[in-house]
Amino acid sequence: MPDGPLVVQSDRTVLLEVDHDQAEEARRELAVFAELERAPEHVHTYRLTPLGLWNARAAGVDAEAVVDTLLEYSRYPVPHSLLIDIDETMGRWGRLVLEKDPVHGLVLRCDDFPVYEEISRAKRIQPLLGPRIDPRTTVVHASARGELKQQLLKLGWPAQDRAGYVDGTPYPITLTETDARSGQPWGLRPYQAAAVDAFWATGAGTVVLPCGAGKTVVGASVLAASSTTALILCTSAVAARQWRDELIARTSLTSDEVGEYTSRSKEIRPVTIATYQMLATRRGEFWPHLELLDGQDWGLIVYDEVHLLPAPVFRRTADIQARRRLGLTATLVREDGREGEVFSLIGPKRFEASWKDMEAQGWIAPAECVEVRVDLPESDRLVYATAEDKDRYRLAASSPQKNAVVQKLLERHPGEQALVIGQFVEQLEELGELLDAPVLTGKTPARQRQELYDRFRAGELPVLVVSKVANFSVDLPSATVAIQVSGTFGSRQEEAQRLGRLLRPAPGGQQATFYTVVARDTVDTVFAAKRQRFLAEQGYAYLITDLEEH
Amino acid sequence: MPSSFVTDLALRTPAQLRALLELRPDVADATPTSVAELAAALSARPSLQSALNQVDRAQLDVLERAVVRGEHTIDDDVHTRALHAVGLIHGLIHRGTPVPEDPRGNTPRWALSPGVAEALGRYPGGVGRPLAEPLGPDTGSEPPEIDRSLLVSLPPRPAEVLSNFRSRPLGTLRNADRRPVPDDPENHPVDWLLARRLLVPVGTHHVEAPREVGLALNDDDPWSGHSTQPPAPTGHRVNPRIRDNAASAAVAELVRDLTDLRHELRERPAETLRAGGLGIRERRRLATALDVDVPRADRLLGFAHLAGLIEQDEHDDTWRPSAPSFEDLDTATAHGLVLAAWVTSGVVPSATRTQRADGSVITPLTDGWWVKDAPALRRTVLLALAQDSGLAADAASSERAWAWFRPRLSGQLSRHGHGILAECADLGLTGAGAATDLVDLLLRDGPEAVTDTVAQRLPPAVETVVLQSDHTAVAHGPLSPGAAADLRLVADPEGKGAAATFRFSVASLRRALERGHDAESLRDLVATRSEGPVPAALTHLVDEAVRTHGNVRILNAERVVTGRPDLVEAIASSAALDGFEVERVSSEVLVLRSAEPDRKAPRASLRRNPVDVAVLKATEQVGIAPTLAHPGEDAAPSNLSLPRGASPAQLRALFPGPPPAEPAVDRDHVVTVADRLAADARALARGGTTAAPEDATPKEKPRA
Repeated sequence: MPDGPLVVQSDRTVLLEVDHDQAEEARRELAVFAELERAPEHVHTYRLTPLGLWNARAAGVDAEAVVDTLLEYSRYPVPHSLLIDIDETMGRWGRLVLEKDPVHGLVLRCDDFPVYEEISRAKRIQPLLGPRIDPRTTVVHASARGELKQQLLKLGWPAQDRAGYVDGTPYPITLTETDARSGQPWGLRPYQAAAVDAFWATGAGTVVLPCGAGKTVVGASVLAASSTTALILCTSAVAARQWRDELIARTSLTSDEVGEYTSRSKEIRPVTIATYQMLATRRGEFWPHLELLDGQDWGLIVYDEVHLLPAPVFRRTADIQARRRLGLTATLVREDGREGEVFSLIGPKRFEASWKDMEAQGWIAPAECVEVRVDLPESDRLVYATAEDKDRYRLAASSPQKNAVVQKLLERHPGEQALVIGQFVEQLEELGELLDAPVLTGKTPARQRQELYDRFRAGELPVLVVSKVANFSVDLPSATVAIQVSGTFGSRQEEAQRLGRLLRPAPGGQQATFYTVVARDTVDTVFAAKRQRFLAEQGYAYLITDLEEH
Repeated sequence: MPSSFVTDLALRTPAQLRALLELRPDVADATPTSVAELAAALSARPSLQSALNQVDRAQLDVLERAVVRGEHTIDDDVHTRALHAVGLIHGLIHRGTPVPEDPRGNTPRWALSPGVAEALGRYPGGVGRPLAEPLGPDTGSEPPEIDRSLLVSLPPRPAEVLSNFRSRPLGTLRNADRRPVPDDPENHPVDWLLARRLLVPVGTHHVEAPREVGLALNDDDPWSGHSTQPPAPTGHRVNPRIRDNAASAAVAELVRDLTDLRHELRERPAETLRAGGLGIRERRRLATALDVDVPRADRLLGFAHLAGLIEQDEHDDTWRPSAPSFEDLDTATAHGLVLAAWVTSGVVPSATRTQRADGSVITPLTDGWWVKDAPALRRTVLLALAQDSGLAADAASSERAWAWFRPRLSGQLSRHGHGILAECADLGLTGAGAATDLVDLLLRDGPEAVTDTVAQRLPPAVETVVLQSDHTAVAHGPLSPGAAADLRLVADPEGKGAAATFRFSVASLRRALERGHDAESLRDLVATRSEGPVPAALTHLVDEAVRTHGNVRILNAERVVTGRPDLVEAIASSAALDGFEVERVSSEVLVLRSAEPDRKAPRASLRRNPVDVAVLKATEQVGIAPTLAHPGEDAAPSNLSLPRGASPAQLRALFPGPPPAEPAVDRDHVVTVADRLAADARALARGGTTAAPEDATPKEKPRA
């Protein structure tokens, strides 16, 4: 009986025993064709999906190699039906090819006549196909390239896209050897270099790295590899400014060459940074800023926090399949379950690193997650019990009982900088008053936000009370404590992003502590359990304690 | 009964008699006590049919040739020895036995055993009867003859018609008994043939080519195209690693799926159609629950049925798991139980959705599944598979092999053979279409030997799981029945495959509390089943479940009695409520319900009742997970525990499966019967007597 580190289940999951001698070898080979689904402390779960298998096929790995890996490392016999399924699924790749024809432009070729008949009769595909120029070839309009690929994927017949990418306007960009801000030398970390290589091998795809692992640096590096004009899309003006600062510090780009296309300024430069909110702004039937995506001859488009991509940008992205596209995210989970669309429009996952592995290697700060439960006083419980459904979560999550707990928790971390994060502005204002700390919410003007962040980074503010505006793309490396008092219901990615605020390695290398204060016996605990699932699956263990223990 | 046959039997050694009885298990089952009784039992028509179904093409050719051309054609060769071993022919040259000559002066050494020629049917070798037979007794004193010269110079049209009778003796003809037009071969070729007795009418609608004609059309040798060796299989080679992996995976998967099927049927028994069997809706429901396709679900039902893992409820006709606890068996024994039943069962699970002769479609769990010759069909498929264990034979090649190995079953094999191949794959006898060494082992040594080998190859069962902070538990191998039962109680199974995985939740832990665990025993159980320390997150989850258990309880009640405590107390202790479940939830509240839960009501019914749904929703909105009472949940599972260490063969008697289609070979019984017959033969040789064959009635095997 072989004693490999894998167990291949008949439900298409693959379990990897992380403490096994061969775990690393198996992980390397498995990652090529399987998606990491969860990574708790002992046994990681991967899933075999058609998309993952097709990506592997696109990368030159055939079914025989996949089967061989599974048989080689599997501890128990692998279900034969699964092996057949892998063979059949991977055999579908390459039967349909999108390529350039010198006369007709973009064409779809298919040597398998029955397959061609199947797809050409599909209702959603028919309108995307142009005239048939021979029994094997059909013209496709360039603007239908993304939509066609997406629909073919849904139908189970992925198209191999050999039509290539437009080069964009060349613009020389190089990485610097020293960080212009600190004057210190810097270089790409091995995993960042691997991520850049993995992306550049295909020209479209998504890189998944934990918060604080340097996704912006990966973006800058891809920009340098591309050396073309580029558009960067991010979540907020603050994030746009951080991108700008990072590019100027680590690349040959100067402030004149990097433009910000936000509500404050609308500069279009060789490298332009815009916000999703800006692009998704609608006036009547029109999205006036969406033209930015295709109006310039960009050689590269970077989608920061790609899991937040709003619907209009999604749709327009389908039209710009000829441009190289890089998606960056820490948490490729969408509460609307549309992760698959990110893969088909931006590109599949090209690189992913496990949070706990990065922590073990010292690239992100170690963190302890603690859920502190508080009992509502009887009077509050009665109010809660008789409240309308829609008010219950707010009542439980913003219970004044939590304020005292927050104060006590902060006392346990003297000398450390802390973020207090919540959902409800009134609750945050109360906390700000109680803790004598500034409160940063959506209403806070961008300039003032920047100023508060700067003061916090400089160590002038020991505590900053923030709403969900600080969930994403905000670098606050000096924070080592975060206390979450309320959140957006059961959002897993919000939980992960909030923890992510603490994971940027601090100069002192301190362990971060992430508290969630939860009202017991209310929907607050239910939502907390849902929120924690993503991080628990990444290997973060939540310690649950009572108020009395603090 | 010819004396040569009895003599032949009497001269057999005890070992030869044992071999004979093993090859003719129906005869062994009849327990003959003398050689004469043995001879009579061997000559019984059903027994002969059964024995003839087991001969291969080469052996059948020997028998047919002997019938058509005379017994002198039986040569001393390997086929003859095989036929002799099984008692279908017997030797003629015995001490003191007169040796008959056939009419042509040949001296045969072997003769067909009594009844064999008749059992072979009217048309051995595909040729008709001798002319005299279809013509009947009214042909005069001279035996009728065919003018063979006619066959040499047939006119073209009659020759064309007659060529259709080369491989089959019968044809259909309207007004076959008409007065033929004798001399117009071009316009009336059939009449021309009828007039010259080259075709003979059989009734009003058929004509038969007499044997003489059939032989002439085949140059006197209808068997010339037959091979004495099985045809070489064709197909594609299979990597042994892939083959063995597939087969081993199938064994574990079959046992898992059957366990899941029983679980599903326990939760939701399968409703039977009015016409019998399971309808497509129920089968789809089972397929979805088991995460398999419908044909696989059908075969699983078949395996479960033939092994007695499920049974029909006598009250409501639903199919439910049988009482013996299949779940308590280790994987190899569980597999062995199914395999042992499969080998002898008349149930062919893969026959579902095939058509009967009348065109109706066979549904699972009906008589349509029953194929009398199923064990013989399986042996044939296994024999063909064993020809080349590295090859996945193509369909045509398999059919050629089946037709050679068991020519008299070729029709049934064409119908069921491919389905049986699928069953072989389900049982892990084949992998990726190629036979594993288990096929040889099964043919040679029987299912027990397969079980022993499978047990050595399967990973050992584990008692503990790895507990993780995300509230999951993963077993590093197949769980022992005890560990699996414990974990199913405290956690919900998640995923499907070789490694059992579970997810703990407050709800799953509460389930254990509802089944009688308290905080301490629950913590003990989790710790006992954990490979290492219990993660803090899980400890907190257990604490939370214990803390919140029973805060709010939702009970089923048919009547609620409220009132003054003393009156409620009086009602509660009234004898009138005997036979009802009475629960005193507080001093002023009494809950009453029928003691016998409605067996048809599914467990999940609580969620379907609109009032219950509303109550549940309300509690969930308040953020409370209530403790739910389910009808019948407190009742102990109906599983009947099984004796430890029992073999699959011993366990079979405990599972209520259908009776086997053919008696299983009981080696001890065979030895006893053979020894007794040998003693009788010795007495015969010493000049004693044996019962006259005509009077010999095989005695029934005494039954316990």
